[in-house]
Amino acid sequence: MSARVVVPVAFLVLACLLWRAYAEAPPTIEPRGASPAAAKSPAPLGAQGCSATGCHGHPVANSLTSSPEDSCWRSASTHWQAVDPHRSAYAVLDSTLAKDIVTRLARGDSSWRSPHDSRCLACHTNPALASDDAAAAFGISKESLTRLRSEGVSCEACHGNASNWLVPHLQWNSPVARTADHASVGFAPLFDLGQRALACAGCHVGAPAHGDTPARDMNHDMIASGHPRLNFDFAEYQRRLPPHWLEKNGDPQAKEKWPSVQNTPGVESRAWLIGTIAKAEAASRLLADRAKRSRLEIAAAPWPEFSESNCYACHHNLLPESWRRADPSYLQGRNPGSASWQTLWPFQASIDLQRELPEWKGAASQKALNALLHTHRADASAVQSAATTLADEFRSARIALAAKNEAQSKQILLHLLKGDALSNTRPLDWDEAGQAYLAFLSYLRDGPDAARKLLESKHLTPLGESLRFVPGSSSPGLFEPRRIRDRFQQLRGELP
Amino acid sequence: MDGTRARKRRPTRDPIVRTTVFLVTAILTAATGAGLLWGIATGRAAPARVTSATQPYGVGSPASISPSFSSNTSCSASACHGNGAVGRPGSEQSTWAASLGDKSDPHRRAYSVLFNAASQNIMRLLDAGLPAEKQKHAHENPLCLKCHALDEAKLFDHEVLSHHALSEGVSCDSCHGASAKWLSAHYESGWALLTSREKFEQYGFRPLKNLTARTLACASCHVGDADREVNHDLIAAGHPRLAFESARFHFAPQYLQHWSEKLPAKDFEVRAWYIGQWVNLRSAVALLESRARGVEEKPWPEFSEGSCYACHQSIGESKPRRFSPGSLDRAAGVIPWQTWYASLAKVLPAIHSSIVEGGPIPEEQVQDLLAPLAQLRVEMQKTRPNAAIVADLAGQARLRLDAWLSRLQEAEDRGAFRPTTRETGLEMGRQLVASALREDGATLRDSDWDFVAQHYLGLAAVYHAMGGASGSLAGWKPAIDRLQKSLAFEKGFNSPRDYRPDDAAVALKELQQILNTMRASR
Repeated sequence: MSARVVVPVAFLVLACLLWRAYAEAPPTIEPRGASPAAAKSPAPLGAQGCSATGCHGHPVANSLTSSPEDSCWRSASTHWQAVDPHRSAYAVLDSTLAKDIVTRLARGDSSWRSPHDSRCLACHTNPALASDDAAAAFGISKESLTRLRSEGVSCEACHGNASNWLVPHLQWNSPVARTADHASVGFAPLFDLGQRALACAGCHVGAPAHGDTPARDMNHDMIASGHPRLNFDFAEYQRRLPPHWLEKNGDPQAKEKWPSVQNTPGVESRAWLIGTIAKAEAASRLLADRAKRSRLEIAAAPWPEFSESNCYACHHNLLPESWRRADPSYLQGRNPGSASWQTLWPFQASIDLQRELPEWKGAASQKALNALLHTHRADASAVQSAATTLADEFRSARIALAAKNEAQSKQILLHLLKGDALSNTRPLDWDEAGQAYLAFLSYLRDGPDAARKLLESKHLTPLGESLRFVPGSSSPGLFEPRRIRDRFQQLRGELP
Repeated sequence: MDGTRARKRRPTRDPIVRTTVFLVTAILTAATGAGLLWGIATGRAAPARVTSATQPYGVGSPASISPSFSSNTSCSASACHGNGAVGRPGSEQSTWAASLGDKSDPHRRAYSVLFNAASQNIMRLLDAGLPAEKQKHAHENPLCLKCHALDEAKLFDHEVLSHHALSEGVSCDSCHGASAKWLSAHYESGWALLTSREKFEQYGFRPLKNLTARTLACASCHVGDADREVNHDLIAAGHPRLAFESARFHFAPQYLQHWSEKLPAKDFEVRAWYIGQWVNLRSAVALLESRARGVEEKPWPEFSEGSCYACHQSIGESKPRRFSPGSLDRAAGVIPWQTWYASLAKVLPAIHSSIVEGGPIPEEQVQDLLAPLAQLRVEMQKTRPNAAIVADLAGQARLRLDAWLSRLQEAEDRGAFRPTTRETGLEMGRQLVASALREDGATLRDSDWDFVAQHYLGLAAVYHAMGGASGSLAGWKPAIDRLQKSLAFEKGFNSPRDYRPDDAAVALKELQQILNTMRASR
């Protein structure tokens, strides 16, 4: 191995170790994209800029067969190429489904021509490459742009375009300066869980346009045309994604205490908590943006945008005796014929989370937004302003929670699971139950193995089964909230 | 207009005067009829006797009539309509109030159902957001009473009626018109000399013998009108969906009718269906207009304007609707507008000449009638329907439909409707199938359940009118049965749970083939 490779590698390993020794609570990094765009957008280099054998393309990726270890960064690209689903994000645009979706979309909006539309590319490749002007903006040929796009959601889609940080990041050596180093060159601070969750939510929930990146908005027209619904849960998605990184945990002794920091008690709870807040923040920003774009003269966004509602509030078969009509508390004060806004459990307008989650100060803003949305004619301009206020409240809570360590996070989640958001008074619909289920799953994953397995098999697995859709269906069919609620109560009874 | 003028017009009992009036009327009628026939024969549009009428009689309540309430006990005197012999003339009120086996008139129970558990739950949900002191019972709520009892505002100029009066439910005055003005006139012999329009406009009496006027009366509750509606909130709270269809309601097996139709059953069923389609379309458009004009107070978009089952279905990869990209004319993701009342708008003109004398409606007239409707659909199926534009288009559509309905009404009054025969039945069947299927003869033009169900109801009206399985269209039976089966709700459901539009398409294709052989063998 040449010195050219060994020196920086040794440097980085050393940096990692040093950081582990000195780092304290996760630093707060605010915010990528919120500051005015840099004078010149960083240019994309493509995955091949990262995948050199001496950089992140080491041919032996142990992370494929065991938990990631300190050196996993060396094969991060190899690992990604081998198993990461984001890799095929672009290729699926050539599928029959994608073509069918566009055919259906074109019926309502003739500007739809192909699945390589910037509205699809915004999430099916590096978002910075999605714009129609991207080739000109980056001074590259159309062919080069297509080649870069065809990498799918690769390194730079999440870490940011690399032209400004490719060289500097080889030289960083102080974990203490990590935050500042990343910020100085626009390298996405994905080591901050809140920032990482927001980066995921940018596509998995949606995001307004910023800089050269077009709006990422997968709306009801697209879903009705065949695109799967976005059901983002950060902790669960992260569990399912084979990690090509090692969690930079805040606890300096983590490595000694646990065979892998991935298993530090509280990691899952922390991911769920921060991820859920980040999702709510992203959803509120997207709503504000949709409300804003609905008032455009040209190419106005739909309003009301049906995908802002709970899907199964409408998409269910009708029954003479429906649980939805059995208990007025289900409506939480809205008109029976209106559709409820985004289910962001446990952030329900009717529940005060002050006791369980003192970091959350947005209850009043949420109430105000819900009051607007649950009238039959939500005024887009009022919604835009209320949703922006709410997004800012979620942002404050996210920053406050990202400063908590794993043990604290686990305690907070425990309080939430035992608190009013899952009390016995109101039937939960599928969306609420699904999110509460994932919260329990995250909490139990942080517990000792034996107890976890027992509780999972006794309560959680049957709960998951009763939430499962029948094969071939994308909706809950005959959903029985009473049984679900009973199961949650049993599970709550077993909590410490 | 007041009582003095009405009294002046009261018909005389002098036999000489009566005879003279009769003769003059007869001559005038004959002359008019001859003129009409001549017009038809020469291919010109019939010179309508009341060309000025832009509205059919029977719409709303005449502005000039604001009588006070008189209880239906006035009708139920034994010498009038309460003779007690259920099912016989002279016992109309007795029949209305009676139960005969499992048959009765459901209008009688319209008020009492407001006390049942379902009604209580509806109100509990509707008023869930209100403080306790503002929550109402259904039987005190004008929203409910407008259709579940005599409508005080509309019929009696806001006179507050007693619970006793309301408790009669949808009683005589609800359909026949507020009776105070015509009560003492309608049994006078000269009453018969008044035109239906005069009876309505001067006395507030609804001539329900005329199917247009009758269906307009039905539709004011069963579809809705400017101040009566069953909106999506009410449905979501538990009120059944309104899906009115005149022929089906007339022939509801447990409906005990207090009158007998003068028409032969086969003609009546087809006409009830055909006129009902136009009247319901007009009523739905008028309702939309009032909703769009009232957006400051009312929900917008109002979901009950859309197809219920476009949204209310389970969704997924195995559901055939979503995965046939070429199967619809509208954009994915929007709610199709008024699939119940407007799905047959294009085919009705094509059917017209099978039902009414005078040949096909001229093409430009059809265009003029349907153009605002088509624009209305486009606007309503946008992702952001503009209420002001909708109100304007709906207003234009309503005016045209009103003018058309008044012509239809005149045609009915002058007896210009054709009897239903095997030939007209076949022609209507052919038109309906061609409207449901695309040119390929195999795929549905619209797979929406409402769209297919409306075509089924039209076909079924013709099939049953001609005697069903033992009539001259008996050959339709397998296809009609198959079509019905493809639309039936699974037991325990209020929506088409596993609806397979492809099954409906197969049934319609089968009917098309049957129609071809029947025509060939003619």
